[in-house]
Amino acid sequence: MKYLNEGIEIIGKSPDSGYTIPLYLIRTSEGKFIQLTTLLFYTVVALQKEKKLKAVAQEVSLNVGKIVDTQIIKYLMRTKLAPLGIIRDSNPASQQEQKSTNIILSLTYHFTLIPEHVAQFLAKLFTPLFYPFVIGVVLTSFVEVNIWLFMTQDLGNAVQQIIYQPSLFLLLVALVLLGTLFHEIGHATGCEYSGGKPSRIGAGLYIVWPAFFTDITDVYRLNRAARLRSDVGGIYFNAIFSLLATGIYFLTHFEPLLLLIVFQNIEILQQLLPFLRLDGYYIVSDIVGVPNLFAHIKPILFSLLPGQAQAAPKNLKRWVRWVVTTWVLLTIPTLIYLFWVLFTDAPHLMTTTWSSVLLQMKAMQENLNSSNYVIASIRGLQLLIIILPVLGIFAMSFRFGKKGLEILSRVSGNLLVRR
Amino acid sequence: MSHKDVNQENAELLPQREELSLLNVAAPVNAAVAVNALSSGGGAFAIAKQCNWIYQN
Repeated sequence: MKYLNEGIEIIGKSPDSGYTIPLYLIRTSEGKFIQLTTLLFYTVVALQKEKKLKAVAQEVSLNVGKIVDTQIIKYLMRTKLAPLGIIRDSNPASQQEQKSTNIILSLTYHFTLIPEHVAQFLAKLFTPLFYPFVIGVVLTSFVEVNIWLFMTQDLGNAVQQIIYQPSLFLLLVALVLLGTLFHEIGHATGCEYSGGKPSRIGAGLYIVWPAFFTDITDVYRLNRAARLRSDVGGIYFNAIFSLLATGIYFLTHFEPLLLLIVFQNIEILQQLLPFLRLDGYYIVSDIVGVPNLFAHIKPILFSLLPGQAQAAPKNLKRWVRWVVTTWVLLTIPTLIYLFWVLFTDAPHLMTTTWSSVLLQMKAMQENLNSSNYVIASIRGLQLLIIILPVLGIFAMSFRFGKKGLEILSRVSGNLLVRR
Repeated sequence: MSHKDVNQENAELLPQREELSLLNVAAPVNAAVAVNALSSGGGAFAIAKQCNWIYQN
């Protein structure tokens, strides 16, 4: 008899973990990783090999060094493994999934821009950029370019050119988008160089902002250095993009390219923020060896209340607990401030956006009538830039409302059951 | 194994690792405005000639 669902893959010990106890990884056929404690892991290993529960219990007992009977195996299968969809014919529990991926802070409305096989091809192509010698050259040159840019160049000329030639604005926006996509290829390349298999690159909505993303879930099975390489691969590629822009500038003396270098620096700084799910967040997560920092917010906050010390996350190494607690204490006010600003500014933003949209549309119509297509395109782009945050707020409010209704219906259902 | 030991066992579904970068398409506009405001010699001024007619009878 087969006990496990098709495609369950045994990975092994979770490397460089921040926990005091050993943790293990398995992967589902959908490519999702599940982290397990020792007894559960060896139960899954035995269930995959053995046909009878008695033999499963014997093998698990041998591996964990304690007597485990068939009743315990059945109990673990029913209460711990089935809710995650590991056991054959069990429903992948939506409950657990919702727990692990916070609905507000996860990527929504996402779609694929570069499919997996193309992303892997590009990642392989750029792998030499991660050779130590090349990294040394890139980083030294990047520092030199920035010193040269900010010490000797006047960016005012580049700005003036854009003001006088609006078509350059469109070009600059396109180059910024290209740079962001190159950043994502950097993550995929870092993952590939480290022995992982990057997945698709796509776009979606994060909170209220449009975003690109690279799926590098495979790095969970890699060690700390490999995970960190994949994390910083993005900003490393921003540095390379800056060098490319500098090279083209020296060939063409096309000054708006200097602004592109400034935007790459801004993106690097933005990405290093340890909040939300930007690169800085994953860097902190990988340094401490805790895969889902957001899951620790609730227990850590509870543990800070008087008499609630037992609520603190268990089994974290001492230094890891300090880092995670500090991260929580910095993240919570940041998130509260962020959402406060988003919601309090929303009415003002919407009225301003509406009047601005009307103005832009009228102007765009005039541009089209006079066959001024470049200016009309810029107005179209401006319209998009104006509308996107409002659409994002609507989408987020919708998700909030949906989640609120789900909680209400669950609570009211529970009350009816009690009656 | 005790019931307590068994209950302490845990399995957790890890979130997908989607490394994000926010699309700051408004960055060129913001930066252009900022650089323009900070550039040396930049400034705003207004000159208005003031005059008035005085009628004397």
